[in-house]
Amino acid sequence: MSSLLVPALWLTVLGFPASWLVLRSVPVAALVTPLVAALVCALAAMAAVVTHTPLIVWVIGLTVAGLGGALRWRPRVRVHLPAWQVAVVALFASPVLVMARVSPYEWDARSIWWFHAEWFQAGGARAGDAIGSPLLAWSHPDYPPLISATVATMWRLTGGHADAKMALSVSLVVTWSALASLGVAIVWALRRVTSARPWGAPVAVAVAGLAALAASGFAPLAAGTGYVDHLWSAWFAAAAVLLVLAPLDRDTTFVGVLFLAAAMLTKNEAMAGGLGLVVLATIRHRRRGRLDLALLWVPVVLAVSWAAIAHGLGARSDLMQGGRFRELLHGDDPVLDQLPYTVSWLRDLVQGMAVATAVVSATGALVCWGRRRRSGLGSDLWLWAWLAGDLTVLVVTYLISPYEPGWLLVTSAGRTTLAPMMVLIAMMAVGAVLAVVPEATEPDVAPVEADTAQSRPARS
Amino acid sequence: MQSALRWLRIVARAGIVVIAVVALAGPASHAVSTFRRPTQGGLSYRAEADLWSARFACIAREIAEQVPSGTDVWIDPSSQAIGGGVWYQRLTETAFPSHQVVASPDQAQYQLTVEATSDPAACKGVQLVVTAQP
Repeated sequence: MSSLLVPALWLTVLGFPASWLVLRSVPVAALVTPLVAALVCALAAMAAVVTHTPLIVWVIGLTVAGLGGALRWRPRVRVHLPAWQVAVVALFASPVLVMARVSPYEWDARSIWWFHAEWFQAGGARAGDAIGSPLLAWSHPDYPPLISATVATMWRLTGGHADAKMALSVSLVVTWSALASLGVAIVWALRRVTSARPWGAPVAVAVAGLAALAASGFAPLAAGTGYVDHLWSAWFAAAAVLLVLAPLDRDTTFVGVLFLAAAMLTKNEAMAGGLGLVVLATIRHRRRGRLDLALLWVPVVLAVSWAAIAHGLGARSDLMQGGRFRELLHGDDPVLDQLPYTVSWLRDLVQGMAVATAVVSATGALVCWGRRRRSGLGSDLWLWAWLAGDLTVLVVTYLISPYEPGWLLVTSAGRTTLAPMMVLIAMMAVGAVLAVVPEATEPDVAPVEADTAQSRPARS
Repeated sequence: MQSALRWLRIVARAGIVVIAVVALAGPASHAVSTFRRPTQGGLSYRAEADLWSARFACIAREIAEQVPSGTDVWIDPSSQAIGGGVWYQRLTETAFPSHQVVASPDQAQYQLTVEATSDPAACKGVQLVVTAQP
């Protein structure tokens, strides 16, 4: 467990000052510190690869520039929660950290994320060569740089030794922060609901903490062995809560965009899902200012920038190299024959939680709808629409994959369905808190207003 | 009528809470038990992870000791030594960035492979074989 302290310390050095200057809330800034540090490392990796310069120079440059910008323009993002609420949720999310005692050896962790970290540590020029090398194509060189760049930075800051144990510790600290962020996003989204009763916040914190812990309970070994699926999925679900469920305001949008940007710079699967979420959020936020709408698209711009850099260097995804798009479009039997098997496999994974959440959603719509609208919360339908789109994309991806479908589903489906599962968990948690915390003066009839009418005026 | 509706609401809300708590408690307890005692296929995950991690670390040390830094190395992708293709990828990772991994034996100064062995001094059942190329 002591191995976690060194990466935690360096992530704090890189991420906390800028987080605190913007958020001015020690607990929330501490929570998003690993995310901010990892985002800085990811942007630095992109810049290093493009300019053929050392990663660490860009990490230091961007950290200093971020601090300077925060001091110069003093942006204020008001996402303030009491320290005890953040601490309790973070405690619920912490069991994953015990995996620091396990020896790191999983394929994805070593052959993708930490191998790419070695590329970035070797400098922008060598990283660029490696990304474009056909010899290393088996390592998925097109995958986004966030966790690899963070690991490379930690290695560089601690002497340059490519230590797998350190890499696992970095991954665990960031995963823990992402899981806790999901819980805190739920608590923040429900703040108007829970403020009605003195015991509202403790109930929300308990439910959100349970949700954060439950989020690590699907394919749990992957959460603690260096895979990145839990961390991007948790950030993604937190972004979904803040962008399409939480009351509309620029501060909430800003933090949601941060979560989504981190998710989309972590793994390719987040790119398709992220695009869908941004489209839905743009529709929900349509009556807000252009600046707010532009802010929503920042994660897409960053993800597309990475894809363009990797593609420009010669990296090709396995779908681009051997994907069976044409066969699918022509309705070829070998592809379509896999449809029932693929759907059945994914359905078995998602069905239980989806049915339970559907019952909670539908019942909640009947008994808490007015309450939800009065609290400024968005409808669950946004997320059901996203889920339908994301699961469809997932089925199509499995159908056109060049790999043997049975093997691919066995080895990956538990992880590729994590984002939908975490979104379902978030909906479930929000629905439960809405049901259990009554309004101060439980009015049965109240003016029903649109989402946008509930929002605090955007500061321009 | 009002009273019945009120009771119906209370029952519906209670139902939501029960479903949510049960649905969240299942994976939450699975997470805690897995992290406390990780297993895979009923076997101890830690034992497997310790074995492979020790092998990887040992082979990395062997490469650092036996293969001069900065040289060109070739790793046979068809090598079917213990672990099959695992070692092709693992050797490639370990050789980077101190060595240049090349595409054919003609370009290489050394060929690297991993073989199974019963030698107790080797890396937990495997050993690195370094062959200087002509």
